Amino acid sequence: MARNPLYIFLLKAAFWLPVCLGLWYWKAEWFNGPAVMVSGWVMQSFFSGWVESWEWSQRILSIATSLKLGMAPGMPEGEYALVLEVNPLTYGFGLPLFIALFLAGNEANRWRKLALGALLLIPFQAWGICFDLLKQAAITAGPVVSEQTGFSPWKIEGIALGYQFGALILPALAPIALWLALNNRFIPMLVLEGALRKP
Amino acid sequence: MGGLFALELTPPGQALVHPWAAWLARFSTTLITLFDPTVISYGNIIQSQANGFGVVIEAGCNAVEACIVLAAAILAFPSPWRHKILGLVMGMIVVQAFNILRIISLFYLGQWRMDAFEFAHLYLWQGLIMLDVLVVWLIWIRTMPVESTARHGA
Repeated sequence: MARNPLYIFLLKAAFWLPVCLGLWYWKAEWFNGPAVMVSGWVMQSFFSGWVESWEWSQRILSIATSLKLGMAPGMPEGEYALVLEVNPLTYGFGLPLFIALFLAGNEANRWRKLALGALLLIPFQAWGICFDLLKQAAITAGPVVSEQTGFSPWKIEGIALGYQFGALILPALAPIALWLALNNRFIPMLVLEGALRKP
Repeated sequence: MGGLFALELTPPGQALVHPWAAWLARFSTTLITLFDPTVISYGNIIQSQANGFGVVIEAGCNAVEACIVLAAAILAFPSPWRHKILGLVMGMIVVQAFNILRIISLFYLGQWRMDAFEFAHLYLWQGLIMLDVLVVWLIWIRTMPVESTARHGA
């Protein structure tokens, strides 16, 4: 009985995924650096009124803001400014998934498509990072901070939706959608191969 | 897909998602107690009575989003309705079964090592669940009826 090419592809993908994830996690500063830089630039450019600086260290992106925190009982007198922190890796696991899918296949121009796909994934990861930071400032930090951002109620709703979409759907969907888009012959070939196997 | 996702976030959608998470916790616990009777569930929490370790099934851990992606992919692909419905039912069962395996594995991984739990929870299982969705979708496409395949190819 001939071996099923789909199952061979899937077995290869299941093998490559943990390997790629391990390498990506080990060198997280390299692989996540571009999306972090894009996110830092976006935050500073679009929210220059309250974003002061950003730092990428110990796998955490920290954003220093001028947003003043409210006083809580027991806190020493003084002014406290909000620092936002996010783990960019939680929005970046799509890259190793995308690479695993490519390594499992045998398409033409594989390496060029791999580089293009890795570049195209950066905005999706940056989306998740930026909306996570915005959600912290507009919602999680409380009404005292939220008021200072100047976000209208409908913008806050939009931030909540953007955050949910960026956290739950985009990180996993983007690599698969990109892989399918860059391998547009895969699905027609699969349909044809499936039809030819039927009695 | 956007519509299904927005629906999930509305109050009626959440009224279905929360009981689903609680059911997942109960069902996973039923399976676990076959070999580990010290485990209990309450609400969307699974907890070990032996060491107090527990996991909470939150949004993103209930595979609802994975099912939404699968449903969108099946509904968008040109195929007969009968084949779509079969794909939706069977596909969601497979994705949810895989997710129960994820929940149980994470429950024990967390009791063993927290750093391994974090890695598996945040990255490895997220990728594996989406790979599972892709597998189910590709198998569904491959088993499409021949008449529909001819129309799709034309």
